Amino acid sequence: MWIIKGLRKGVITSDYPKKVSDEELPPSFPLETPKECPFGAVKDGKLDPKKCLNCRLCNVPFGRKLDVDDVRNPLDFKRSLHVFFLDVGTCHACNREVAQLQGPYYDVHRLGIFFTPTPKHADVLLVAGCPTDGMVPVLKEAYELMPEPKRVLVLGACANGSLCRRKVEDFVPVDGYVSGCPPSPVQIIRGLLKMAGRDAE
Amino acid sequence: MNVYYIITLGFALASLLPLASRKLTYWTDAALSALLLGVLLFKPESIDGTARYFALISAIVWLTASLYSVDYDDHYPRTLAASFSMAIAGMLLILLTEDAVTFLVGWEVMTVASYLGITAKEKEGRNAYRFLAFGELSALLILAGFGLLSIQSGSVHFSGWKGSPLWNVAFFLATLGFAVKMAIFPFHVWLPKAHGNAPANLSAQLSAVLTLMGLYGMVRMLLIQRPADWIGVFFLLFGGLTAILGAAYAAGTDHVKKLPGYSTVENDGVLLALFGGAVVALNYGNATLAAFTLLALLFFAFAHSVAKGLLFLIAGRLENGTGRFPEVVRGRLSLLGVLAGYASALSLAGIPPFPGFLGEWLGLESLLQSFKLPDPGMRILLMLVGSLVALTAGIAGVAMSKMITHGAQKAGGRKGYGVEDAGYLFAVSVLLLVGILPGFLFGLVNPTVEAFSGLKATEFLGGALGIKGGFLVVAKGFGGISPTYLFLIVSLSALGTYAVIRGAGILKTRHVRAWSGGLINPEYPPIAHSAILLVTEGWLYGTREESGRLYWKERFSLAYDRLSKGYLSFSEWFRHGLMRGSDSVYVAYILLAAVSVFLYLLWAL
Ligand code: SF4
Ligand code: SF4
Repeated sequence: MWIIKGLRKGVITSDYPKKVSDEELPPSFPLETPKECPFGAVKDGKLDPKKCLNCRLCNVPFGRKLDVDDVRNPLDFKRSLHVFFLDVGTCHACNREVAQLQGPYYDVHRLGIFFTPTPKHADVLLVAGCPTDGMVPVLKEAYELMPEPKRVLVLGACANGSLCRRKVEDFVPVDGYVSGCPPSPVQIIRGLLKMAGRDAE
Repeated sequence: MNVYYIITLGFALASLLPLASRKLTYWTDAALSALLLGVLLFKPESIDGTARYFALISAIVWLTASLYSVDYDDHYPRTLAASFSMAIAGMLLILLTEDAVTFLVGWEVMTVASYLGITAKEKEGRNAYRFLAFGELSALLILAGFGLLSIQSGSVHFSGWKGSPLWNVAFFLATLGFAVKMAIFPFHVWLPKAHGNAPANLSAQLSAVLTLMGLYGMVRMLLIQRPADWIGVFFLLFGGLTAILGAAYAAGTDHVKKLPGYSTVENDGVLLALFGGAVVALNYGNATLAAFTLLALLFFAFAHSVAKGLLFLIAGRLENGTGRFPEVVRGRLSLLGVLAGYASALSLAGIPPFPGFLGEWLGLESLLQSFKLPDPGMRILLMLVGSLVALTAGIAGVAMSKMITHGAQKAGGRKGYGVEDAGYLFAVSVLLLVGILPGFLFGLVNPTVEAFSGLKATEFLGGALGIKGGFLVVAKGFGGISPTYLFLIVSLSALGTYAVIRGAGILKTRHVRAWSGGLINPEYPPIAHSAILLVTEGWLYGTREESGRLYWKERFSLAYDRLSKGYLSFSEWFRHGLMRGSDSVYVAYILLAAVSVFLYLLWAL
């Protein structure tokens, strides 16, 4: 009984996805485009937020910027989404943010997002980190095992190709990027919802 | 002199043949078993019904095992072939005799011959001793029981024992002896070790026929006179325990031949429980249930013996070096061998259309019909044992699927057929035939069941759905279901569902590799097959984990090891106290004592 009751009531602890408060996103991303960036986040005088590490080496005052994900190829889903998370070589900060998603505060279950223990059950492959030699074949295998339709969402500056010479894109086709180092849980949720074709705003 | 004694003599003489050639011995054994089988089937005069049934089962196993041995035994010492034949002669003696002395002689011949056979494999001294120790324990118990009755009634003939006032005590002693041979808990520890380490043809003989002799002894005793309730309760309880333990350890082990060994413990446990059930049912005046339970017992014995014998033979081919499953090599079995492996394992797992399914169903049906009995305590007990046996059947599936996936399936690919394949073919066809048309076997057990309960076993055969009467098994008189219906319903609904899904295009299959967390791990190790059991039932297995691998140990076996160590050190201490100094002085003492006794006798005369 209490399961049904709990499911029906549901306690929403964060406002997302109803509205995104500014406080929920980390203070990040230079207000104006810096002149140069040691990590290659600036190209042709334009800032690529996906690659920015928030390191402030560019001395540009920090501000807030909301369009920090870039989903190019969303799924045509209305309801639940199953996600397989793969760490291909992180500093572990990304993992911790992903782990927050399942906690009571963000609780992605209420949004119909579920993590699966095997790529064979997943719609979205969530990848974080610089692809290391050992993990590249695993990454490819995981992608291969996923059923159609499948999408790949990459997390963080590493996977987006800022910190290391490799990026996830070099090995499997990527359909969406979430920026940040690490990305905040809210950003990840937004990326996932967009990937599921359920953009909140 | 009837023809059976001539055949027995033939087996005994065949045990001398290895001096000339081992192959010749096995050929002779095969010919004699075939002859025995023919005589039992077509000219069964001068043998009583019960013995005939058991001899028939044995002859099937003997024929299979002898054919198998022709190619198998080419590097063992000659004692193996000799003891193989001699043990058969002993068993036939047990089956043919009507008096206790010959029975015990046969029993000893069987035990000692098998002991010699086990020692044929080097380094197996300890397990062979264990076999002998428990064999002698059982012989002593039987001797005690038989002796009591013989002295009390003044007759060594079975028929003369009826109505003895000491019946219950003597019955219990003797049947306990038989049950030790059938590896009843807590005496079950020797069986998997001894059977698992003996040469395969002998293991088949030990597990399939030797334990069957124990059952034969029990049924024999049962037919003379019915014992008291408490004996039935005892066998119900301990049989159930034996069954569940055997099944659990069979599922846990990854030793190719200990697995069928433990499975024997399990099946014998079920048999013992059914034995208890039959006694209880009859004592409470339910003759129908008693008849059905005895029928279940006898049928189960058939299913167990033939399938287990075959499985041990297959396991002997899989065995290689360490005897663990991962070492199973391709090319050990021909296609027929693989099929035989499947057939025997499926039968033991209780899957239709093999006799194991029917045996399992009969057994469960008879144990779970306890509400027919008036006594509430007895109902609870029977229900408990019935559920243990049902659980056993489930766990046996794990063990047998291990046998198939890690054993038989991987060992195929041998080109060309040998003599052993003839044996496989014979055993598999017997299994299939009996599984599909069990009515014939019911006819064979008729005399036994009738002598016990006054009802015929064939009364449980019926006809329905246009199937001719006499082929359909029904629990007439107390239950409505028939295993044939069960089989038909389950398979038809499964097939129907499959057809609908396939036909409607709902089922789209895509074949991908298994996801192993990115590890290169193409082998599914045998231990993983039962890992869930090993982890969740850790209290039973004493599971421990070392560097990511699971290890387990049989609890009761450990206790026995401690006991035997204690006994050894005690006897060492005793020897030190009694005979310090050199052996020659000791021998001199004995000589001196003998001479003085001799002198005393002379003087006294
Ligand atoms: S990565 Fe550092 S230096 Fe580059 S734009 Fe971002 S904050 Fe500035
Ligand atoms: S993107 Fe940043 S937080 Fe994520 S793994 Fe790379 S370095 Fe760590």
